[in-house]
Amino acid sequence: MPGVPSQILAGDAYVITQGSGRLSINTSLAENLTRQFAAGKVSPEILSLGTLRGEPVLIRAVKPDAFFAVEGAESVPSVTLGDRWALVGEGLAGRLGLSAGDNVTLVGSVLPRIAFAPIAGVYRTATPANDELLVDYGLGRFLAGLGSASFHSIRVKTSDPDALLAFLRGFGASAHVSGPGMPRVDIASSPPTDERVANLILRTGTGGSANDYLTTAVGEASASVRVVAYGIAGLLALLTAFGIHAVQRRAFADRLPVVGVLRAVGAGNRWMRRRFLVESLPLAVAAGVIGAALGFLGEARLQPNATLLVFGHEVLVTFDPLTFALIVLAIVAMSTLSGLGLLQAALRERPSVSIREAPAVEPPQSLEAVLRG
Amino acid sequence: MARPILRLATRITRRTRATAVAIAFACMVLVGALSLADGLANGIASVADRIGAGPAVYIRGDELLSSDIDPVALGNLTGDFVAMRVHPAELETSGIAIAVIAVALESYRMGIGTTWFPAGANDVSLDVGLRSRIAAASGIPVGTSGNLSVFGRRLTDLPIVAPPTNRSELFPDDWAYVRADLFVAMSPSQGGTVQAILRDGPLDPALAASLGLSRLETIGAVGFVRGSVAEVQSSLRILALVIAVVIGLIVYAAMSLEVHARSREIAILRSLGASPAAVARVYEAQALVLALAGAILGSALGIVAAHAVVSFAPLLGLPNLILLSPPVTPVGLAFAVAILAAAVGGIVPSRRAAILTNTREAAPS
Repeated sequence: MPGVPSQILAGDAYVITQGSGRLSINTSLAENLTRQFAAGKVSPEILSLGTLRGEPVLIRAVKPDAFFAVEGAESVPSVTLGDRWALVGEGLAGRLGLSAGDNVTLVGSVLPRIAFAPIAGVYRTATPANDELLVDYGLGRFLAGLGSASFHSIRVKTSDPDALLAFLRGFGASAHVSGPGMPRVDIASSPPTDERVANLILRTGTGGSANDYLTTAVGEASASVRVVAYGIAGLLALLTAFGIHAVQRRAFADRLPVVGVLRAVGAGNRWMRRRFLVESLPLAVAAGVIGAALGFLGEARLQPNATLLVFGHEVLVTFDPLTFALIVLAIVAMSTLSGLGLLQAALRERPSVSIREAPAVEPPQSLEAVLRG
Repeated sequence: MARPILRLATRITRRTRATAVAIAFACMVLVGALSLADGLANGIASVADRIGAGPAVYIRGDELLSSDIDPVALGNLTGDFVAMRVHPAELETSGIAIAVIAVALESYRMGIGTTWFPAGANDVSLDVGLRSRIAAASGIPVGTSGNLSVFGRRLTDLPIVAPPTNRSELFPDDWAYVRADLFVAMSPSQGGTVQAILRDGPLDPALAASLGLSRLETIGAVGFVRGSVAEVQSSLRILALVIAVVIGLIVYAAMSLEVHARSREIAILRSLGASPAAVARVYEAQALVLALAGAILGSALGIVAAHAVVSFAPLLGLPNLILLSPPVTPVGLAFAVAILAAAVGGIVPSRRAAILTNTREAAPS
């Protein structure tokens, strides 16, 4: 979920956005990039934030072939496009009940505008772009209020990012470049301003924006969504930790006499801890793996009917071994810390106290005392 | 009988305390998560409210093209406005057929509508962008007449006239303009309705609501971020359901254990004359008391947690737009969820307690 804004902007390609210098993201740069790199893998794009039938939708003006190559998308079925067209992603089409032949109302991104687009067809891709609306450049420029030769971003799919950076430096473009495994690189540009989007809008007036607005906006949107997502994850982790501790505490209460007996026959604290880890770690790992696997499987099963949408895009849950491992690790850590804490408390007691037969649960108060008040 | 029930219900043991704390943690997650999402909505709204929204456009429903405003109702509107009729059409001219958007604009002043443009009853005015598209597609300049098909009807040999002299910044330059009367003549039912009302300022909300009108946000970025936050908020409502199930299970487990541990005590109560309903009330009340205590503690923890997340996030390099406000709705929802879940989760154990005297384990020894 936190990565959705950057996935929308870049996907798994290298994305070039406007730097703080001269206007560079234009047809000239796009044509030169297309000549320099694999043709069809360079996608100049104009992004418009809008609503469609009341739902938030990202409208992307593209050249269809280039976009399809970058996103690995396909048109269903193949269509011939005229000069004014819109293609709707399968996910969005399914949600809003759109199909080829429909006309839809679109609105401007940062300027008040109304336009209508005929849906020429539906496309399918396995990326977040499956929830977008593609339009021709003319319509995209009208909605975004962009000049006739400008783009918001150019995405390039290449296996040689160094060559891309070298080309941009040689071309004299002012740009920010980021992509898979590459931290943002500023070419002939200051780093993106860290000013709030709110300040930018207030300073520049209605619909105005700084040159590198897109980078800032995506950064800020990512940060805000990250704070909410990580905050909720933290709260859920706290709840999980509490649940694990509560269960372990109840289970450990029954084994207190065992701790007392072992200590009485000479088991040292370190040996006890080691023994505890040997016994509990495999169980914790197994529980973590089963729980995380059930979570992923449950999500996969719910996927067609229950989807989480962020910025009009479905959050695609894919099996990521690293995330899976981190979840298991967190569960094991919670369980181990909780268990060691309980053991430590038991080790503080004298063995004779631990061995004493006592109910694990505190006896209830006297009924008589309660009734008397 | 109420006081003893209350006293019995409010007995605090280690087990009931643990149950209340568990409910509190669940409520903390609910209040914290909803507060963060509401805070994001507040932050977005504070930015969006500062952006000038341009002319106010009102439609019925959520799609302008399928909006149908009764023209008779327009007489109820005060002030100046423009009634807009819009329909997809097909234009045949210069030897080609092209899909166009046909628009009729009627200016209303003092409740009277006037169509200023185009002048002729059957005129079709093509804007500059549309002329360019036709010229590019046909390879010849736009002709002086054409055929227009709308609502499945085709009008032939309509005069094509010059582009509009002034066009609102709202509109693109590739529309075809006709008079409203032409639409009405072609189809009184479909062509008679108005699709949108354009005004300089917003309508009185009560009047708009009475006419079934909703405002179309013409600056998409504003609608986009508002809608996006609403998506997150609605997704989080599902979290409330999950939390409700968790609380229900916690209460069920705790009260079942409580009933089991107190079976002898329940038998004594029954032998002292307490009715099954009174015994059931004790345990149902205890479940509610635990839920209430948990909700109070959990709400407080949730508020603190949400503020902690927002305050510490910038220190971790995550400046954000989240503006937390008093979480009235999240707290209300947490209380409702906790109490409802506890009431439902406590039903089975309390009923079991009520009939326990008939079972062997409850028999006094």
